[in-house]
Amino acid sequence: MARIEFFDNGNVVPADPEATLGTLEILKVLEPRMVYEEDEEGNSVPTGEISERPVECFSTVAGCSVDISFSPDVVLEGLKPFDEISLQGVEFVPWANIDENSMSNYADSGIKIRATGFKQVTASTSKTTSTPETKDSPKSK
Amino acid sequence: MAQGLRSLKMPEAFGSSARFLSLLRTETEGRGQNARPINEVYEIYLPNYGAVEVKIPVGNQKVKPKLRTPILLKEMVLDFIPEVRTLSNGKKRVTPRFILKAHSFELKEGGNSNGSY
Repeated sequence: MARIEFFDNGNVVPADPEATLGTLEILKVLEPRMVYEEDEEGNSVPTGEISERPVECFSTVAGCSVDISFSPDVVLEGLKPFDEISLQGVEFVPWANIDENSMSNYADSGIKIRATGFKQVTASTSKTTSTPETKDSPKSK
Repeated sequence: MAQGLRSLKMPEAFGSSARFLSLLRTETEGRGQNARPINEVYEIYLPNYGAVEVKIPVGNQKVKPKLRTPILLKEMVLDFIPEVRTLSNGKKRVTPRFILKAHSFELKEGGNSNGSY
């Protein structure tokens, strides 16, 4: 019996982002993750280059909080808690880690969600208005 | 700390070229006289993945297709669980494993029904 594997596809699962996540509410913009490299003594030191910009969001469809890793070039300034966004260029990448000398069979695991961009559906201050507001449209005064 | 996802909803295109192979087994809950069926496990063929298992809740699947009949899976969900293995030298390895679940499947045009369950 074959197993469903996605190694040929770069371990990216071709899931439906809209059906899986739906609209996301911003909870917190987290600290950007840096690129690390080893120095001469073998210590990991940050190079100053950003590898990804994680944002903690609440998914209305999944009913739980998820971390979204945006590309380094995505501008997240201006996002406030409970702003509603929809993602663009979403990739789901499952991962699992275990210490090879571990005595237990517990493995850290999860599904990493990468996105290349987002579209703001509604701002938290205008949640009561019925007309959706896009990121590019001028803000209501 | 985000809770994270454990299951992914799949687009209909993922199972659009599926073909029915067989009914493998029925999963039950409880033991002995208290055992009650919860899922039917079917073997289906997916072009990119080969013969894979799909779990469908008992009672949802009404049509019984013949071998190699093209089917269309409805409301597919891919559950993710890590599988830990212990090697002969005692080291641990983990690989991501997926369980395909669906609400039901229906026969595509040209498929042959072989009665009903």
